[in-house]
Amino acid sequence: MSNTSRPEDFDAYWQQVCGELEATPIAPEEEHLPIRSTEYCECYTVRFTGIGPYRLFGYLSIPHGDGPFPTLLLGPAYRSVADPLPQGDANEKRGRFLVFSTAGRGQRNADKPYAGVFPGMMTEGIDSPETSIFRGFVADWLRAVDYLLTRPEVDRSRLAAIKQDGMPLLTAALRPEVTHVVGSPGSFYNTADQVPDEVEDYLRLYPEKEAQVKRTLSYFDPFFFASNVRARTLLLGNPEAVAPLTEAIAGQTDVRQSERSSYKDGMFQERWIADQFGFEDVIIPAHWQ
Amino acid sequence: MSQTERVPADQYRTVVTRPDDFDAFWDDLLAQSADIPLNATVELVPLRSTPEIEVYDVHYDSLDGVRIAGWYALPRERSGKLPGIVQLPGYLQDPPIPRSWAEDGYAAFSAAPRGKIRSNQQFNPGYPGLLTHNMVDRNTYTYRGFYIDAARTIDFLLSRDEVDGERMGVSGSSQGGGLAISTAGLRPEVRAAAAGCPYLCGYMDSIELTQTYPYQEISDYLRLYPERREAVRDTLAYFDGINFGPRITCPIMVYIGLQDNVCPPETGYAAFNTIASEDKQMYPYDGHGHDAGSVHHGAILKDFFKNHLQNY
Repeated sequence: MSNTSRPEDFDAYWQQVCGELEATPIAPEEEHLPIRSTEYCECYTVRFTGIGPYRLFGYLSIPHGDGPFPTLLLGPAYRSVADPLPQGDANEKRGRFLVFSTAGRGQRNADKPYAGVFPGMMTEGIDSPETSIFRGFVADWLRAVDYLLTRPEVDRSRLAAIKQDGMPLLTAALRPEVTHVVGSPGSFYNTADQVPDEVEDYLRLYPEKEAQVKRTLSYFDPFFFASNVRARTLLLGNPEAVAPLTEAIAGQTDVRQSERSSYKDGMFQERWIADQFGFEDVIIPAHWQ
Repeated sequence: MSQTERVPADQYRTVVTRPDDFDAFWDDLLAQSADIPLNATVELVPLRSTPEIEVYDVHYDSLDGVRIAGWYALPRERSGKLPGIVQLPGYLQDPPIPRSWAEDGYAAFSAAPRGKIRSNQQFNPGYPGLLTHNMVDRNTYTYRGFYIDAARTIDFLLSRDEVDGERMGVSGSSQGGGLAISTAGLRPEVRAAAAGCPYLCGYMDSIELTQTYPYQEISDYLRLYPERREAVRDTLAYFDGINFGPRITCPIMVYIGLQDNVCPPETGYAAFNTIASEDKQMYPYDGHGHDAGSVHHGAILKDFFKNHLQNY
């Protein structure tokens, strides 16, 4: 069990968000990006609209050849930058997978009119679930899935949401079209016991707001989404700490405890994705071979 | 270069050469920098301060009139002057508030060189893009100002009454490691330096050794503009950490992961080999990538700075 309480209007809250997305045209604009296109793929910038309305951004890499292609959604992480491919990933991956790497509201390329600050964005509007920046941030992950589902190049039987964060779990719960998840419990798992540093700073200054802040964060606790996650899942975390979460996830879930080596953890993740998507070989960077 | 052609990282020979006027180039920039008043503003940030640590929002002037931001953390309980430490940021990293250094008794400064958020009002080539911005011209290349922004963190510490200017260190990993090397090479006031998996060392080596971002930005650029390769190589030689090595004389440690897929370990060795310091130590971690073995190295790093900056 999570020590956080599930808000009574949890389902209604997220239905409202999904309804706003449904009422908001995606309105995508793709532009070819020759400098990030390679012998493996063509790369495009994509501008598209999330709730608000708010204009979002992504790098779309489409392999050469005939699709559809297994797809990796690399949604926004909690930092200012989104790269076409995560730092350190073998560039050749963009020849096998369609890769969509997106920036959520506040991040670079999606920072007008709202420019997030790091640290700082986490507590933006945190006094209420209606004003929390994460209401929009989660919706931006969902909108990225919506965009991918408009693309004929996407193999709908192999669509993974990936980030070492809780967001892929939330996304898979609200977008069942996501077939695979690689994620972690993230910052908002069981915040009754431990809150992120930025939230701790906020509560030190405004201790009288503790109850309402924790109520806000509970809307983003992956535990309350888990029963709707049917995607095949790899969860990165301490098995004991995440046991309540893994038991609650509806789909088959593997748990991987970090060896605190980006090489060993990265190799495991790449092999897991390859296995799940039916590839015998794994595309890894030169120094992992 | 394929796996079968790769030699052990410590036996790799760099393709980087040192321009004859490398020192003159940087000495001229340091002289220009010295003429620019710091004009520092230092403002307490109650939101980020704790009962033990004061955190300040800092801004200062740098080359080309660019205003640079940083976080400054101090232990509230202090007697006498404190050793100073500069924490330098990774390429994609948003500079963190250096409270943990302050908890260990340092006056700790974490800067955001130009182009990073909070320092991007006047200069903002973006990510990806910052690495290749004006890469054909050493006089306007990104890292000309970026390195000076980092070097001026030492001026900020020297401007503070609570800092002992004889006990200042620099530390960082990835781009922070590269900046630790450049800053130690540019500022003789630095008494100890630690560089983890240093980026910005062996640029032209790295684009052959790896196909990963961020070095991939250079490969992307040269794929589009192959005719500019010579100009790129000539520019980058002025900014290569390997070429800062002969200017470094302070105690320094370099730690790398032998399976680093971002900053090839070959380039970490190449940088280490040129460092002039008599007191230098390399820590290679097998089974580790761009984490550079930090799980093992954290305590060693702390002891290193304690020995050089606190136990005097």
